[in-house]
Amino acid sequence: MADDIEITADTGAVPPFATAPVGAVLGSVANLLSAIGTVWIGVMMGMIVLDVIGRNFFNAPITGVAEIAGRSVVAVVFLQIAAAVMQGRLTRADFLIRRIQRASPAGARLLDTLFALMGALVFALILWASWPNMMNAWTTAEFFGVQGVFTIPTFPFRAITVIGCVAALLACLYRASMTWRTRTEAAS
Amino acid sequence: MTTLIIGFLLIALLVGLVLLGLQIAYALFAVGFLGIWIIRGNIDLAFRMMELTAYSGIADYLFATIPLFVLMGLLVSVSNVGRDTFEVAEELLRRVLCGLGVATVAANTIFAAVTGVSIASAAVFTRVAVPEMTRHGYRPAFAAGTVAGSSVLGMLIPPSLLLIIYGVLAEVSIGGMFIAGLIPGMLLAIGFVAMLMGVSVLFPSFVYVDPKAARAKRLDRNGPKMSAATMLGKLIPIILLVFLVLGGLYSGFFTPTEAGGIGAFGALIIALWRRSLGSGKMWQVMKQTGAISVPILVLLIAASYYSRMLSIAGLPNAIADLVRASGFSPLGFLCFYSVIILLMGMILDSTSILLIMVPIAAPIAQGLGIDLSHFGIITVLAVEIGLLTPPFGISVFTVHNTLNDPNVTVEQIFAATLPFIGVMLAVLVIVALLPVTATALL
Repeated sequence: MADDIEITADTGAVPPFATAPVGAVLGSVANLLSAIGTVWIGVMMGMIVLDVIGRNFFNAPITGVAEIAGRSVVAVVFLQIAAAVMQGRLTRADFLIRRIQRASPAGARLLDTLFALMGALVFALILWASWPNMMNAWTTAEFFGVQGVFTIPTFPFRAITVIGCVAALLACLYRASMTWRTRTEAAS
Repeated sequence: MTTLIIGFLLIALLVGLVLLGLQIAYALFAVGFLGIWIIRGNIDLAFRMMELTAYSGIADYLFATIPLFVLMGLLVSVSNVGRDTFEVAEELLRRVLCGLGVATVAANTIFAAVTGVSIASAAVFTRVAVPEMTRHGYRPAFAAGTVAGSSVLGMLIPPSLLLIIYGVLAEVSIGGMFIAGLIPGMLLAIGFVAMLMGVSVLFPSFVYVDPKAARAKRLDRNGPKMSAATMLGKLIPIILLVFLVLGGLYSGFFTPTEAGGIGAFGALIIALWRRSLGSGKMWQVMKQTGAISVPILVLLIAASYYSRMLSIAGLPNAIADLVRASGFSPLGFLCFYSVIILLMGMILDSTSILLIMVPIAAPIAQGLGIDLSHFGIITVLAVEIGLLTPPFGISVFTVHNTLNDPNVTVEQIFAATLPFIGVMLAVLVIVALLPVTATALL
């Protein structure tokens, strides 16, 4: 029987290492992070289900599910953001740029390059802002939760934000250079 | 320059950048950063707030609803639940005027109760309903238009992503938004059915290529019959799921996040039971869940940073004062607001419109004494119309791409959705005039 809907997730095809070493490494790293995030969504669902079942049928709720799920959402976002950048999946209004593309392909590519650099700048800002707190969390062994009930160190979560930003920053720079290069190739 | 003027200039900058095609999340972050820096003259504060938003902006149990409901929608989509629902609706409604059109709306309404994404409904029913309608003498473009038009029900009938996002932005209970969406959603479905029947009587050539075939199908008493047991078998999974999710939500047994988790798990069991997850399907579904929800969550982080900037600039209050001073009546404001959203809907996607408009508009609405749940339903209705209007009507493009029929152009589908837009506008007016439609069940 045919399926109702074709679920064709972007496989995030990584270019071969021989022709584009930077793209290959960056793409693989982004896909790896993204895959961890994908598994994490499933784990989060399982955790919530177990909590609901445990609480209602066995009078045994899982402590801290709400807090952990909240933190998990952020973690999933930063794990998958680099892949989203690499595959150009971040939401944008493209009605004007498509027109510009038709009128002047070079102009559109210039804009796209600038936009990718803008993304790099944004991730650099977040990275710059998040770094000190990650180091603090490490040295002071910062935790979240309720002391005596459950505590979870914040360092891994802060580290995921930082790692995700680094990967996304590199992905933006990579996309900027790729867009720019196609421009010059088209011009020559 | 007062902070207020700076604030307005920054909003203008944001709109300009977004229109130019800058990724909306980048635009929100950059403008927010610039705003806090300039208004407070303190770059450290801008950094500190950025860190705070990135780390904690969406670190709440509530935001887990987004990936969970997306996962649930995708799982029911792969497990042929939509097809079964349509087949039963077709069987039950084929003797009704414009029966297949009505069946599409009915199936979409039920399907909307287990998925929060219009695009998912549009893709499912394009494959299921359009071929069936075409086979029975309906115009392919009309069939496609019906699917695109009725797929917007997914965004109004809970659980709906847009209602969740609105609830987050306006700080209204998401469970409450889900309840508020029920009556307007039913109104919309009933309006669609009435419109389909009316159009098929008054303008048969708009609906049918071959009115006789459709009539024959309608009057055919000897066609293959579906036994009651088969029907029940096809409907049980979706009924159980609707009961589990909506029942759990409305009885207050589940929080929205728990409803999402349990719903996704229920959908997973249905998909496993129907053996629809073989050969890597499961992984594809999971990946697609991330691919849909992460860009939305990124937007939410960026938007919460941007709204912090707006409140630092004192904009929401200032605009609210302006609106009050200008003597706008609540109704006048709603009218003006809906028109702006309808215009934005022609160029922006629905989430982005909510992110840009709600932080500014919700305080105004509150100041004018408009109930925020009521306001949310109006917002979502207006935004949904955008899903059908050119040039950005996503639902229409989804249907067109999925259909992949060279004889049906995008323009034809847009034309066929016009009556649906008419019904939606009518429901929008009704809801705006009668707040009770949204707040009755609260």
